[in-house]
Amino acid sequence: MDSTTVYDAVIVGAGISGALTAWELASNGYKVLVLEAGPAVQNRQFYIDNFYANPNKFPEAPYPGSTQAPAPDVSNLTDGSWSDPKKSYFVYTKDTKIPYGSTYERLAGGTVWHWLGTSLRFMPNDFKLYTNYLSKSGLSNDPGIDWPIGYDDLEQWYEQAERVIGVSADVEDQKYQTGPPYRDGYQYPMPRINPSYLDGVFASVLNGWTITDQDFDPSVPLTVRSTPQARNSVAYDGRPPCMGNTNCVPLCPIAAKYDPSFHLKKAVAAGAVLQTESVAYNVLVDDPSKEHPKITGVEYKRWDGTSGMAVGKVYFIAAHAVETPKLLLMSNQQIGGGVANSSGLVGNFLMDHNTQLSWALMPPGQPVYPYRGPLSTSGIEDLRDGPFRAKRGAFRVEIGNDGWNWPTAAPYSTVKFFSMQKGMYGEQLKNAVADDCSRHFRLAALVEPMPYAGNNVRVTYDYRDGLGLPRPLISYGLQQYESDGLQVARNTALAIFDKLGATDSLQLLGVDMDGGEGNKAYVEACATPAGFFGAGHTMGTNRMGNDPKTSVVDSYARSHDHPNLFLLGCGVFPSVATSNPTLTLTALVLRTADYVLSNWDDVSA
Amino acid sequence: MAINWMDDIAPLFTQYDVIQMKWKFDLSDYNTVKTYAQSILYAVSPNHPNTTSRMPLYEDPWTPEMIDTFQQWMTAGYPYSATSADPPTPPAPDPLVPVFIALSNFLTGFDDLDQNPGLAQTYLTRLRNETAYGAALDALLAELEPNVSNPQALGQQVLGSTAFFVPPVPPATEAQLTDLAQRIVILWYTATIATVPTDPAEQPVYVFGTPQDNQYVSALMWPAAQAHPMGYSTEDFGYWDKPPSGMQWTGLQFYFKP
Repeated sequence: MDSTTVYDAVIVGAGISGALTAWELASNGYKVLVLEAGPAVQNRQFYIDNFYANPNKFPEAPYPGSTQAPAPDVSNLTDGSWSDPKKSYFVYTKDTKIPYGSTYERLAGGTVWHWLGTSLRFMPNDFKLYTNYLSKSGLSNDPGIDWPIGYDDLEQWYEQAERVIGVSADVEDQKYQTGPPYRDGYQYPMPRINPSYLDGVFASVLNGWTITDQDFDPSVPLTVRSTPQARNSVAYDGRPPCMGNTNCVPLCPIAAKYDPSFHLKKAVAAGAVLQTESVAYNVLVDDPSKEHPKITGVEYKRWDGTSGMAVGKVYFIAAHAVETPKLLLMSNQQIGGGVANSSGLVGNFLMDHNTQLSWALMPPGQPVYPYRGPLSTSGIEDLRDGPFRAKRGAFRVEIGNDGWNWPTAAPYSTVKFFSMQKGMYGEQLKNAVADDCSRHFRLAALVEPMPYAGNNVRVTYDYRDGLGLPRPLISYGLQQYESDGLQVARNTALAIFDKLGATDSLQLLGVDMDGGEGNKAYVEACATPAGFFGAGHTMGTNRMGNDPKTSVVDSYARSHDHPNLFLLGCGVFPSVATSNPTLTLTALVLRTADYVLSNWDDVSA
Repeated sequence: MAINWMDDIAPLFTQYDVIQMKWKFDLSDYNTVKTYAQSILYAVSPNHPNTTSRMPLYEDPWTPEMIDTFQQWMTAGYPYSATSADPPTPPAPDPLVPVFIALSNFLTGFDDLDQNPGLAQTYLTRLRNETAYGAALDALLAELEPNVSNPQALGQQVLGSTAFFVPPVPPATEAQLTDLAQRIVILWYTATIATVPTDPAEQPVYVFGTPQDNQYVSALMWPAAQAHPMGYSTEDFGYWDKPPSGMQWTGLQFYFKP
């Protein structure tokens, strides 16, 4: 590419937001350039082989890393080296006591390569966390804002998103209390994914049962519900039905789960130019003295160190919620505070669904046969909303089909335990592994955080990546709202274990479970130093809103400052609710693409 | 570079294709694809008059470029790799493999490891190369050889009342032999061998073998758990809503599916 080529659209980032936008624009005849920091998509077998061979089966296991476009790594969380900038990509501020638990990928296709596929819609109240809940308790210590749009605005885009990425679900399973309302007669594009045998065991014990000793008010009876999932229950969009590889994270080996490589391929077939191994480092602005200066170019470095410039009429930064604010803050230093940052809020409100993992053993003789089927097929959604959200984070409970794999790397750890700790071999070992593994299960509660300005992404020039570019400086912590949410999630898991007659992992370890001490021990016993896990959901750092003083973009993800700049991805979420973010992100991206196509003359003027 | 099996043809077949066609033939095997090349070409070519089979079934059809690549490979005489026209000839069988299998059956609790002698050979080689016990293992296997077809006697010979192995088996100590035995168990169950860090503060790394040997998907922990390797299911959509088919095995008891 040479710098004299002027594209209609320049998109930074070839993840789900960039791929879908490129596909929409290129299909409509626009000339599109996609700059991707990482390497190109390779044959799926290449990633499968990488995964098989990698000693760590972390989310990034199948994907090649690089020094030119480095990314955070789960191994820095599990081995405690997260705070050492020589070992970890993220640099943390001195006051940060716990790591930011989520990672992302830098390669064509992006982080959604290794998503689970859970595709829950937000609930109507999720768009009004501030007005309906936080403002009532006075907890919000920041300019509290709601989403600039509501469920009604997004509903048609949810439907379109479900069609585009291919979601399997049954609407009847999704009707609960204040849950998302569906259009009359709406049907998901594919029938639901069969719940697992384990889900069935849980449903037979838990359905209709009410947890009474927590703050759920009104107390709702539990229902184990089949989860809407972006994986094929029938052949769809040139991809086969799921074979239950139990490997959605980090990689579906047969492409039954949606990943952005599909739309990247469609975008390129429609004429979009994908330029990989090109790391954007400077977004240029025409005349900083103007009130709403336009973006005029994006400078990037190729992996060989040479520089280039991408020029277009409309610009989309879709580099996910850490790299996008980092790029904006690195750019155009002369106008102060970077690009698109008249609010001073770029990088603020970094969020994650801090995840409370609890794992337990079913009673002897009551196997649930995990390690089979998609990683999760059901969850408990009825606890996602209620007046308690004024005081502590809500959560959904994801029921895993992967036994203890997430928290303990079982069944590897199971074999090592019985062989090396217990000295077993032969028939005895085989039986012990069979018995133990058949009774493993885990629950994951994804807890909603509050947005804090103090949890943020900045840029540090003290530490550089392989191309000499500055690295992200992270400030992160939990407050009462999140830790209380984690606590109730933990108590809920224990109540469920009790109801099932299952033994919590800490009891297995001989840890006293009574009162706060037990939970302290639990926190210490967890694999990550902070006692909770990241969900892989990096969100919130360039939030949307109606007021340019308290938000970075408008509801179409258009910068308040620069009329031809859009910031795509879940960085725009002002609050993040309890749904995995990808479906909502996709709905927003499709809404933005429609807006851009309908208003091309205005946005490109 | 000339079109060849390793670089160009094998990647044309997805894991989905290979597993779905296992009932008929193995699309990951060079000789199979060579033998059936003409029928495969017909099946992937759109509306070819010579066949009613249309492949692949549920995935995007092959692009003209893919079909062209496959055809060129046929025309070129089915070259195996960039450097060799034919697949490598397997090495002469290692005489110690049968007794290694007998020992492995005893240690793992499985009795059918002879079904995969190639994997046993690979593991024996890995143990020699990746652990410090090569000589000790060979000495042990030589000593066990007379009982290669008598599992009970072999077990008796391996198993002491207090020690794991009946000493003396030069040059390893009892603790080393226990370590070796555990490494054999862990290797068969997980396909990994742990490194021995020079700095004792460092954690060992559990190294997988090369993917080409199918070691990952052959790990015994998966059948022991009545599961499939994570990332390698050979079952059809929805199997997971029922317990594993056939005999239900909880490790504590055997019982038939109700």
